[in-house]
Parts: sequence; structure tokens; C-alpha cells
Amino acid sequence: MSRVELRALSKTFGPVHAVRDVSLDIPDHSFVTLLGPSGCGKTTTLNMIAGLERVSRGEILLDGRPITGWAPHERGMAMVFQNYALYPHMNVFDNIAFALKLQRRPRDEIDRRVRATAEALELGPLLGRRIAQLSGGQQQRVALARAMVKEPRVFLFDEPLSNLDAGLRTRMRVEIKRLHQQLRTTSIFVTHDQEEAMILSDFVAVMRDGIVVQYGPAQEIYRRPSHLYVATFIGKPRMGLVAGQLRAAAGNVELVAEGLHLRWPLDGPPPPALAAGEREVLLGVRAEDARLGPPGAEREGFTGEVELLEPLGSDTYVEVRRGPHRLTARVEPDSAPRIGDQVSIRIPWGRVHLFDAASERRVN
Amino acid sequence: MFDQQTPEPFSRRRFLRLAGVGTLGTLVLAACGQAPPTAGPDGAAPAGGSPGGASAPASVSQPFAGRELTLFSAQHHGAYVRDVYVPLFTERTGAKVNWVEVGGGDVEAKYAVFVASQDASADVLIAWEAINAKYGPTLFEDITTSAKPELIAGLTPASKRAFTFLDKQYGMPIDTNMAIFMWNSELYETAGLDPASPPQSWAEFMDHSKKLSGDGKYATLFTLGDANSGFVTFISIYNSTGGTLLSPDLRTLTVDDQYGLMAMEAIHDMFVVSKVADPAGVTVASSIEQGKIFRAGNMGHYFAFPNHFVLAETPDQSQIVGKARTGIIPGLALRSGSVNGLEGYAINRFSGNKELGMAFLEHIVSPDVQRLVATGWGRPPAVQAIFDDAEVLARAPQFAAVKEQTGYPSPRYGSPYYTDLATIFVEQTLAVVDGSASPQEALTRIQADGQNVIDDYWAKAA
Amino acid sequence: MEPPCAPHELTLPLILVEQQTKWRMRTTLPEQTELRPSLGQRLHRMSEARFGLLLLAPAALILLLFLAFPLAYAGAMSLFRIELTVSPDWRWAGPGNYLSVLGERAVRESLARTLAFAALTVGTSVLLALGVALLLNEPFRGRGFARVLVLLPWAVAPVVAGVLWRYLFHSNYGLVNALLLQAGLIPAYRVWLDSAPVAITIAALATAWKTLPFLALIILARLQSIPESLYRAARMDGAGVLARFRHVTLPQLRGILIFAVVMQTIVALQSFDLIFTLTRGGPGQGTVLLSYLVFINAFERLSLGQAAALAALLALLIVLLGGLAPLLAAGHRRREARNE
Ligand SMILES: Nc1ncnc2c1ncn2[C@@H]1O[C@H](COP(=O)(O)OP(=O)(O)OP(=O)(O)O)[C@@H](O)[C@H]1O
Ligand SMILES: [Mg+2]
Repeated sequence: MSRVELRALSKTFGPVHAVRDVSLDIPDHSFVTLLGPSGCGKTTTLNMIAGLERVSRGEILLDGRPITGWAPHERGMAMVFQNYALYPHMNVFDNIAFALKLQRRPRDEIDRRVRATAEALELGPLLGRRIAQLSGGQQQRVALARAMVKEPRVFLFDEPLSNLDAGLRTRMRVEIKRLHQQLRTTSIFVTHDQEEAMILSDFVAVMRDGIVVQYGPAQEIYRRPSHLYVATFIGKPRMGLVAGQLRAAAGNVELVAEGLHLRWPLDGPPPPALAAGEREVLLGVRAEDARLGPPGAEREGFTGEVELLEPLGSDTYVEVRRGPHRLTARVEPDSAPRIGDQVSIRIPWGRVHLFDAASERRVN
Repeated sequence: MFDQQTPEPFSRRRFLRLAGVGTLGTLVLAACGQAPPTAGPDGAAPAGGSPGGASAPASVSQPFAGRELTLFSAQHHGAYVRDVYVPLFTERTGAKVNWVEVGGGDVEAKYAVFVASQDASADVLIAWEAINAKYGPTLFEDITTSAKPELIAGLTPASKRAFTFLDKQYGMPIDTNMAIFMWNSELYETAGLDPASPPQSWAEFMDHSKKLSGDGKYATLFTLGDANSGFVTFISIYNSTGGTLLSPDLRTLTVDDQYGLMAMEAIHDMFVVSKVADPAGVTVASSIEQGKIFRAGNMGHYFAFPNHFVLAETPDQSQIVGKARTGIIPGLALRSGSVNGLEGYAINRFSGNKELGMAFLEHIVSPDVQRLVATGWGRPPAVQAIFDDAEVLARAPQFAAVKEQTGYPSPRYGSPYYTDLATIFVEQTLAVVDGSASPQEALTRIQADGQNVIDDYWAKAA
Repeated sequence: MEPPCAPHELTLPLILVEQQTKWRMRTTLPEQTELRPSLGQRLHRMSEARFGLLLLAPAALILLLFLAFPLAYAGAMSLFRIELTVSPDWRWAGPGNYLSVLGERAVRESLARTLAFAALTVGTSVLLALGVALLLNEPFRGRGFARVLVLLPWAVAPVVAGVLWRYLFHSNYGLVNALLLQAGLIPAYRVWLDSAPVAITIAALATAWKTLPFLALIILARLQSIPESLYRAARMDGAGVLARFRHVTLPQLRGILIFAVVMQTIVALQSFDLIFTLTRGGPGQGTVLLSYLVFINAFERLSLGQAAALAALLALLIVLLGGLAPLLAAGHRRREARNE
């Protein structure tokens, strides 16, 4: 059970800066996800933690001890790979037992541990099978078992679920979560699927271009994205955005955008974002925070035409367009308007996300 | 006059034979077509120097105008036969000649196919003594009575003998090529020997050789690289003992006697006791390579073919220009003995064009072609009268030695079982050379195994 | 996972096509009846497998004519006594040629020699090829150039290779002599090809050198298809360089190595041209392999029947030894499966 710290970790491949100055503190027992689009450096970071990739700059600590130069197997970590990387010429038993055999454990210990692990993952009957004779899901469980049997201090997962079909993926997701709750082993999980990240993780590190943009508890990442990039990357449907000029005037906060003028009454002093006067911002609102109503002159509202409906069964998302601006609101399926209807979206001030137009940082 | 035979129709049976032999060929000889030019059995390479003026007056009659002759020959005949004697033939007879050639080492393989398929595609075929003995009865036309008697009578005895097999004449020689003795006058001088006096006996030869050897150098080199070249080495020494290896009817081998022992002990002495023969000879299968070593100035003396003298005098082929001298081979019991390497042409017995073939054979022993062979090619002529011609002797100083050499035995002991016999000889000679058998032991085995091979052949032939 | 280039897949594409055809025929829907469809229509409707067979037909016919027929003919020859030094006639011999060939001392000696040569060739070439492939699979500066360079011996004709090696080991001008002398390893130039074991070894080396590029290439191709993640997994499991080679690389290369052994066995048993130019069978009979003996029988002794019999026996030997490696491997796999 271990704490992993990354200190200004960097990796360059020739001219390519794959990872730049990544610093993360991964607490003991936690489940941390590295989330980001393809090519952002997730795998490279994970490989450096594993010892599979040399570190260009920076430091890795395990329980306070620097392990930057250690060989992979000295770190007490286990990794599950995207394509499972099972040894094709060995059967299930041998795959799971391989690491233990290399450690020259006694035969009966190997046997006991392999069987116990296989039992836990419902692989018992498959121990004698060749890898080619397993389904994708079974292979994935063997890969998990191979990692688990080593009783590692840290689990590393590199997109272990992305080769599975949607249903299996959901089931395996649950299984991984259950395992983590049982074993409480520190886990670092790489994915580009934000849903997966949200469901599994205690903490999420959102990455872009080799940089960690935001690192924090999963809920905070969703609720208070620190950066426009995080805001738009996390959440489905995508957060609606309106670009405009924000200013305080006569007890109101106003957003003036092309063909649009939104106004909210201010109870107290102007928000800190406006301390330096008016500024160009992007105002964001999530669909579940946007309230749909009949068209009216309501000042906090955004009146426009329904352009698109996305009925999901439980909810329906309504995309409303006004001039160049588009916002999405969530409604009960029963109260959904029709395409072409004029509607109004009310945006509660307390739920808006404000990002500076230039730096894209959160300002509220 | 010959009767004009029409070619045998192309039968299915013949096609089958052809295909079958072809298969064997492809099974084992896939790359033979790409083989580099290999040595002819006599080791003769086209010599440098001009082939001499083709000054013969053109005949007006052109008796074979419009006819075609196909000539199957070897690469080393290209520069002289193909480029000089054949055009002369065309000029005289009006016949067009198609020239086909392979590497000298591949001739036999080709003839195997010819016999098997009774091939009539070539009318005239290149030949030498060993081939003559092997293919005479099955592939070559017997010209004992059909050739003009005065032509055969005019041949040098050695060349006539080489184309005779069991009293039948199977072809016409083009030369009287045979090994002579050649030495490097500079190396002789360096070794404290008189560069003008070659060894007169085997004892002197060994004496000279010891003085020429040492310091990583060897006085001489004898080829033992394959069956043929090894057999030639043995014979070239044996022929000066006065012995006769094979009975005239080719049924009895006599090697386990005083003559055989004398020859084998001489070999043993050279390779094992006195170490005057280059051990690399075990890997050398052609006299061409042997000649190159001599011309590089690495060897004091050896048994050489006469045209090697021409090469030794050719600056871009030789580092010893002006230093080569020729004489006769020093002998063991006789004053001398040699081995012939003469070549010639025979008529394909399946040919439908034998009259023209005979015309070509007559052409190559005609006086002016013979003169060209001597002065251009540097090979001793096959016709005695040309050989005796003072002008020819003046143009080719090495012929004095050849002429003297023809006074001593030079049989090649060609036979239908030549390959098997030569294989046995070489195996045992090598055993002597590497010290695993004494000369006497080797001879005992050659005698037994060799006679077996001979008996087997005659049993098969019966 | 089956190795993608299992030998049976390479050698028997026809069977696959055939099986596919059967499968196709069962699953094609009944066609609508139509009067005299045009050639274009018929081609259009033809199944891929049938179309493949159609494309194969001319080649198959040519093979039949130039391979099957001559083979059968050579087989027939082996049953007759054909002694061209006696006469061109064929005389029925039955199994006589086979018996006399098997009874010959030269044949028995040559067989032993051939087997030794084959073992040496196969061992050297496959091991060297494996080493070269492993090297070329590692990233280094100039790797692309090295990969092309390694192909060179392959481009050399066997006859040329023979001459080349002959000169390498030449007793008077050989590079090997020069190098060894300069390095002080030999006191004076020596003759290499005068001893049968040395000559056989040099011939085996030359043959291995000649076919090494091909083997290295196919092994390299297989190496490159081994997923990198397997090595990462093995490193995580604590496998060092040797363990990774033994437990990841080698099992993945098994199929291709068996294929390489089979190929090389066939090449070795068929060797002729290189030996012909390298040693001419010498010293003495020291490098006369069976194929060379066929040549001698056919074209020097002119015993065509015996040559054909010997060639047939050689072909049989090639089939047997060529088939041995896959069989052994299959047996090994079965034993492995039983142990599980
Ligand atoms: N061995 C390498 N050599 C050169 N560049 C590399 C290497 N490995 C990765 N990169 C580069 O580093 C960057 C990060 O790669 P990485 O594999 O870490 O991305 P990732 O976030 O895991 O992407 P994905 O979701 O597609 O797996 C990419 O731009 C990639 O092209
Ligand atoms: Mg990745």
C-alpha cells in the first residue's frame, strides 16, 4: 500500500516533448486516473512510473523513496496493458504464474497463489486453456490476474478496457472498482474515456500536450473545472459556451455578446472576476443547470430556436440556437419542445462557469 | 563420297529421352549454365598474340555453297578455331558454320546428353583422348576407312594415337599438344643453378627442386585437385618409367609393379619426404591455375603445356617475361616421358551432314591451318610435315622441346571407365601425399580396385 | 496464437484454396436460371476461389509439364540400365540400380558426408541468421543501410559465391591467409582446402553465408511482428534480457525457426553449384556430396540409370529430413499439451 509522488517529471523523445513537468501526489489506497485525449502523454507517464521508460527529467518517489532509476520489477508494481500482452504460447496458469516462477518461489506457493487469484476472478476452469482459446473479456481477466498475483504495491492500468465492447466494458469497470475496494491497492489508471474516469477514480489528472491541466477529486474536476479545456473535455453533453464581455453595471452583472445581452441582478459586491473592471470572458453552463422555459423577455434568459433534440430516454437534451450562440438544456422527456419552437433558457448565475477569454483560466 | 543421310525424324521416343536426361541435368546441374569458363582437359587457354595472317588463297569452287555445318566446341577454342579457322573454312567451301560452345569442363556433360538423346543438332564435335575413348564407340563416327589415308598417315604418331580407340580412328587432331618442361631462369640463378641447363634426370630434377624450395616456397606444383587432374599428374610421371599401365585391349591394369612403385615413390618423395611440391596442388584442378602460379614468379619449374610459354611471354599475363625456358621432362627410368593434352574434332555419328563434317576435319589438318595452329596459337601442329618445318620452329621456340618430347611416351590412357579409374588413382595418391598410406599400400589398392572397375565395365559391355 | 508463417501454410496454398472452394460451394445461393450468360457475367459471378483457380491454371499446367513429367521420367530412368559408355540403349533393371547404388562404398561415404555437411550448414546458418535478425531488430544508427547490406550475399550467384570463397581461402593469395598471418595466428600461408573436414566446413560456411540473408530476413520479419507490449509485460514480471529472449522471443520465433531449418536442410542437401566451383568435390572425394555424386554418375561415368536412382534416393532423403523438423515440433507441442 503505497504513495506515489511525481516531481516535475518530463520525457522527451528527440524533439518531441511527450511529458512536461508533471507533478502529482498519489495518496496511498487511492485510485487515480490520468485522463486526456490521444497523444497527450498518458502512457508515457505511466511507463515512467512503471520503469519501462527512462525519465528525462524529474523524480519519482514511492513512499518517499526515490525510485527513478529502478528496474521495473524492483518497484513492486504490476501493469495491465491495453492489448493484455498475454504470453501467447503459455496457458492461463503459466501466464499468471510467470512472474512468480521468475522469482523462484516454491512450487506449492505458486500453485496456491495462482489458484486463489484465478478463483477471485472466476478463471478457475480456464487455467489449462491456451490464450487463443479465450474471449476478449476472459483475456482481460487473465491480465488482471497476472497483475494481482504479484500482490503489488501499485497497480498500473493502461486503457485496459478500450478493446472491449460497450457491455463488457461496463462490467469490467465494475469489476475493477470492486477489486480496488477489496484490495485497496494504490492504482493508477490511464484512459481517454471521461466517463470511466469519473466512475472509477478518487482523483483525476486531466492532461493535455504532456501537461497536467488539473488534478483533483473527480467531483471537483466536474464541478469546478479550473480551465476551459477541462470544462469542455469533461461532461456530456459538452458544456455550452457564450463568448462576450462581462461587466458590472447598476447592481447587475451583464454579459454583452453578439446580438445578445444577458443580465443578472447582483445581491452583493461585484464578483472578484470583475475587480479590474470589464473583461472578455467565456461563460459556460452545463445542460443540467440550464432551465428551459417558454420564450419571454426574461433578462437572465437566452431566447432562441430549438435546433436539435437528443432524447436519451431518461432525459432529453435540447440544443437552442441564437445567432452564433448555442446552448444545451436538459428537460424531462415529457416537457420537450419541438424542433423550430422558440424557447428561452434561463441561466442561474450561481451555476455559471466563467473563463478568461485570453488565458482560458477559470475566473469565478 | 559419303551418302547424304537425311536426319532421323523427330520421334516421340527421342523426345522422351531428351526430356529425361534434361531432368537429371536440372536436378544436379542447375547452375551449370552459369559456370565460369573452366579449364579444358588439357588446360589450354586462348593464348595472346596474333593468330597469324590468314593468307591462304581462296578456292574458287566453293563445293558446299549454301550448306550449313554446326560445330560444337569449347570456349578456349574461340579465339583461334572460331575466329580464324572457321572463317577460312567458310571462304573455301562456301558452307556456313554455326558455332556452339561451352566451358571445357562441361563438354562431357553435354555429350552425355547427346548420346542419350541421339542428338543430331551438332555435326562436328570437339574431342580429346579421354573423350575419344569414352564416346568414340557411342557418339563419334568411325573414320578409319572413310578419311583420306594420306591425311592420317601424315599425322604425328602421338596425335594419331590419341584419336584411335581399339584400332579405330574416331576423329582428327588439331595439334600435338603435350606437357614439356618449363623453368624460370631467374629463380634458377637465384638458387645457384645454371639457368641454361635443365635437369637431365629425375635425380637431377629432385636436386634442383630442393635448391628451389624453402622459405615457404616450393620448387614445383603438381595438380591433384580432381580425378582428371590427379590422374594426369600420375601419368605424366609414370610415363617416363617405361611401364605400360593398360593393356592395348584395355582389359588389364598393371600398376602394382616396379614401374608403378617408381612413380608413386617419386610423388611420395616430392610431397612428403623432400617437400618440394606445393601442397596447394591438392586443391588445384587445372593446369591454367598451375601456369598462373608459375607466371607470378612463385615456382621454379613444372610440367607445362607449350602454349604456357606463349602466355609467359605475354606482358599482361606474366611477371616473368623473358625468363621462361623450355626443355623436355626429366624422366625416372627413361630419359623422359610426358602426357598428351592434344585436342581435335570428330564427326557426330547421328549427324545428317557427315560429308561436310569430313570436309571440316580435312580442313583442320590442311597445311595452312596447321601452320596457323603452330605460329598463332602456339600449339605444336598435328601434322608431322608442319612440325618439321624450319620456319615454324623458328617462330615458336618452345616447339623444339615439344619435338624432342614427342620422342618419348605420352599416352593419356583414355578409356570408357576413365572417371572411375582416375578417381581411384587420385584417392590413393592423396593418401600417399597426406601420409596415410605408403606408396606400396596405395598401389596394391589401386591395382585391386582399378581392375575391379575395368572388369565391371567389360561385364556391362558384354 | 499460431505463428503466421507456419510452414504448412506456406507450402500448401492449393489445399486452402480447395477447402475454400468447397465451403463456397456449400454456401452459395442457388443461382437464377438464365440463358447463356455472357463471359463477363460468368466471370463476375464466379466465386473468388474459382477465379483464383482459373488464374492458377496456366502455371499449374506449366508445372505439370516441366516438373511432374520430367520427375516421373527420371523415376522411370532409374529402373533401367543406361550405360552410355556402352550403348545408348535402355535395358530393364528393376530395382537393380537402387541396390547397386545402396551397395556402393562411395555412396555410403557421401551420405555420411552429406549429413554432416547439412547439419553444419543448418546449424550455422540458422543460428547466425537468428543473431543477425536480433541485431537488425535493435535500433541503431545506419540500421536501414545495414539491412540492405546484409542482403548482399543473397544476390550473389552460387557459382560466384563458390569462386569467391575459393579465393578467400586460396593457399597463395587468400585473404584469410593474409589476415591470419598478420594477426600472428599462423606462422606461414597454409593450404586450407587440402583437408576434407576443413573443406566441408568451409563449404558449409559458404552455403550458410549465402542463404543467411534470406533466413535473417524472414526471422526479422517475424521479430518485428512480436508486440512490444509482450516485452514490457515480461520486464514488469522481472524477466531479464535472457529470460525475455527465452520466454518471449524464442517461443514466438518457433514456427519460423522450424521453417528456416526445413528450408536450410533442403538447400544443404541440394548443394551442388557452390561445391562444384569451390572444391570440385576435392580433396579427393572429400566434398563429394550426394548431389555431386549424381552429377558424376550422370555426366562423368555416364551411368544415367544409376544417377537417376541416386537422385530419387536423394529426393526421398530430402523429403524425409525436410519433414522431420515439423514432425518433431508437432510431437513437442503434443507432449506440451499433454503436460498441461
Ligand atoms: N517512443 C517514442 N518515440 C517518439 N515519440 C513518442 C514515443 N512514444 C510516444 N511518443 C510521443 O509522445 C507523445 C505521447 O505519447 P503517449 O503514448 O504517452 O500518448 P497517450 O496519451 O498514451 O496516447 P493514446 O491515448 O493514443 O495512447 C505522442 O506525441 C507520441 O507521438
Ligand atoms: Mg496510450
